[in-house]
Amino acid sequence: MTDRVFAIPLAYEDVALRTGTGAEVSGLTLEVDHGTVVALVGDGGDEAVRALLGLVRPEEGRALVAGRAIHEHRRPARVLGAVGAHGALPPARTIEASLRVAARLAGVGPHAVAEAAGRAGLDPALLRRRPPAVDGLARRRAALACAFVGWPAAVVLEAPFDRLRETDDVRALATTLREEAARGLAVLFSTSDARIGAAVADRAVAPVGEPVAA
Amino acid sequence: MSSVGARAGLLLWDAAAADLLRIRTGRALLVLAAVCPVLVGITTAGTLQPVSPLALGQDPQAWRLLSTATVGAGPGLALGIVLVAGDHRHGALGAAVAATGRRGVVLLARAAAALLAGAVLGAWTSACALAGLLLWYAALGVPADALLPGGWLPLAGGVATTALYAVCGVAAAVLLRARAWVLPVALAWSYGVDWLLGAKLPDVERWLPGGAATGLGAGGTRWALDAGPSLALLAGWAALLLVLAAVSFHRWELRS
Repeated sequence: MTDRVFAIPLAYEDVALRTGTGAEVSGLTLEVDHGTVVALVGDGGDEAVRALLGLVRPEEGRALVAGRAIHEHRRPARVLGAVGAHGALPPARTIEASLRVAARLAGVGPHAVAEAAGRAGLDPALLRRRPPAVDGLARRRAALACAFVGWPAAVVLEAPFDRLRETDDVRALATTLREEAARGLAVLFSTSDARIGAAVADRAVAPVGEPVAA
Repeated sequence: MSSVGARAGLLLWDAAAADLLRIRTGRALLVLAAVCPVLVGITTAGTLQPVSPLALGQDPQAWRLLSTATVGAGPGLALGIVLVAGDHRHGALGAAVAATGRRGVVLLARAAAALLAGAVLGAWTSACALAGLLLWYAALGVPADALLPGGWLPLAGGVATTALYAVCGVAAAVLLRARAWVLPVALAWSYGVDWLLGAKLPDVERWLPGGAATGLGAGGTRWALDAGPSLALLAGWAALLLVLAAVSFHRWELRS
């Protein structure tokens, strides 16, 4: 509990890593505090998000969640929620089933499913549907609900706004993230669009290249 | 048990339960369960062709026919592969790693879930083999008593083969980094290379997973070990592949 209240939810300490496209991130130092939304813009953002989740290993430095590497937490899903690339969810399973799987992984009961869906702004009527049967915004809300299910102190999202065509959808998802941040959640997301990074986040950072104004 | 061990055990339990939920709520198990009776039918037909009806009631022939239950190995292998490769494709493997923070737990949980689901698939395949055979015997007027004693052994062998092949499938998918060609390559090995080796190099084949599956189904032949050693051999292969997969999994950079 101490970790969740006092430590900086998300931090990079002089992180260096190589991206899938061969670009190099070096010396990334960043803190994301409670109640703030930070965007990682451009190349290296996705990899930096994945480094926090323990999916890729930095060549140098440390990516920390509540002061520790993700694998050092007893129940990582209760400290950090994750939304995969573009809100990807398995297409053959209903959204409710994916939420129940996430709840099981977080070690919380099925009661958390409806609550998480509500926080993510997901229409309860869509729970019985499969991801291909709902629109892009609802898919991202469903993935966000999976991230919320363990009541984490921070959420990281990989390219949540990319491929979201409608401006209204971008605005709606941004509003949900900002509302959660206002309740104390630390939010970090990657995006290839510098304008979205600047519009949605309190701070936008480019892991590779020139600094971004926000 | 230490508190650290107890916590890791609880995490493993929840991860395995989540994987079983994944299997229950997905389509792969149902699709593969639909394939099994077809495979049993084809294999049974192939086994029956050269045999005269008079020989059918004899115990060794019944044993041979029941050993078709081990054809569940292919679907079992596919189940294990889909459990890893399918989830990786849709980001769920990365989500499980992030949610548990421990790749070893994720791999062990998948293997455990695959073992259990594979056993269910194997039991279904064995039931299909038995049902098909009973129907065939009834049609020919041969008493079903001829199946006994010992008829349960190849049926149990079918369950064990399918379950352990599912574990091998999990390990193979991790070792080959869940690439799109894992499933066709694994099935080509299972149905092609294994068969060829069995025909050309039986002394080598008997020590491979395919030879162990043959031993579990029809044990103690010129081409295979007895059922007990075959079970140990196949379990050993599954364990070895899992250890190799664990090493590979820790080095695997899970990118989108």
